[in-house]
Amino acid sequence: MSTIQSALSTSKKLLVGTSDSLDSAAKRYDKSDDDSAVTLTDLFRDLDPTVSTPAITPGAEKSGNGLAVPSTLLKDPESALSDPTFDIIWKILSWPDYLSLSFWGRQIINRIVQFIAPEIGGGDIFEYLSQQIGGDWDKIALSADAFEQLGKYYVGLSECVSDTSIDLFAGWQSGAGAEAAGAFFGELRSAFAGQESVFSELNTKYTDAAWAAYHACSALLSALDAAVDAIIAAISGGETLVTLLASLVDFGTTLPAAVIEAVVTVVEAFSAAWGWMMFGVSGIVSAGALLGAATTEIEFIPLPEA
Amino acid sequence: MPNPDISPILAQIGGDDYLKTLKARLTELADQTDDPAYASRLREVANGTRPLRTLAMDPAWNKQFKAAMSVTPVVPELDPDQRAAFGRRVEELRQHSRVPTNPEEAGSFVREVLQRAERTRQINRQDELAGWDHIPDEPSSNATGS
Repeated sequence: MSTIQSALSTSKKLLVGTSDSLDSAAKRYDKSDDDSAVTLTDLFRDLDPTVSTPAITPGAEKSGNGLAVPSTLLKDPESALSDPTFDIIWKILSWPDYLSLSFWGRQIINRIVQFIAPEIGGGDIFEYLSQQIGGDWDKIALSADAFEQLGKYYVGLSECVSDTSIDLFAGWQSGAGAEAAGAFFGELRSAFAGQESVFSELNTKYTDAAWAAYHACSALLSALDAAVDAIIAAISGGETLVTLLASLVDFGTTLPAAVIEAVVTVVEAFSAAWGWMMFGVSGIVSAGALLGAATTEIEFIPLPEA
Repeated sequence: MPNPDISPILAQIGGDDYLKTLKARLTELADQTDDPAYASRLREVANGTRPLRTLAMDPAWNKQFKAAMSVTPVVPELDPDQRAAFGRRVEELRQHSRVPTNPEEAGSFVREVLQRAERTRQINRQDELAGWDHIPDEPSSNATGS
């Protein structure tokens, strides 16, 4: 986030600096009777000497979008995961009662998960899940949309710089000052346009992370839902929580095979979703701990200093 | 007659035999009890007009199976050989089971899960309002079954 804030701050400095330079150029012309005697190259320095960027020249083709200011492209961001159904999914992990889980149901699922996947630890699986993947995933999706719009903004900003420069050079076609300014605006246009790919990648990473979390939550919820029904069915069949868990060890010597298969395979589905989630979500999400990993993989394109 | 309304994943794993056995067991429980309201609810569960999940909130069902749930189970300790045998058996089940092991496929059931959770909530609320000894004249109009 600090990198993004820095990019926006640098963009603002660039625009303010450019405005000041244009203002100074105009004043120098006003004070001189001889345009050729005015020195302007010091106002429009080479922003990035390491690259050669095409200058904007009089008569260059305009974007044709007629955009007055790029901020008109910005809209309030919308989360792709703001549907009420998604909201329920997010709350499930911190609200297992939604599955009609009473204390014993929660206990048996905790024990079975501990048995199948002891690496998770001996705590409450629902608290663990809430800590691991709970959170404002719809806000992550909201951020993704905001990043996409920022990318569009920079494209618009690049076009505005280009179009305005072309208009400017219609009346300022010759001289060292015009050439320096043309090169300066060419680099400015290129620098702003280059930001789009950065924000596009941020949008993709954040969107993928939010959807990965959603699919993991959905799979875990469906598996838990099946486990609860399997347990109710087993107990209705005369089994106890103790025999249910013990039968996982001896695979059905005390319980009907279908019940054992149901419980074990449901837990396996849970385990598969868990492993998938750990691989799919934790690997790419964590800007604090999650999205940071994703954003550090993005090569931010530095803007030139004003 | 329709089968019990249970988790779609569990129904897929267990198949028709599992559902028939469960239905028969629930009907058997209904025939055995002296509580006519509880018997009515059990038959509705057996016929899929109320989700199996509603039993978790049913005081008569909890009373009947209190002993089965009264002891907190202890996670069994497995020696390495037992753990290896367990792993092999799980792998066999994974290969031959009908359970969806793809998380996206498992997650595709989520809307049905949420809909059944809502049916369960509504039916349990009706039970609480009407009283657990209330015997409905006809199957609950809010239950759809699966």
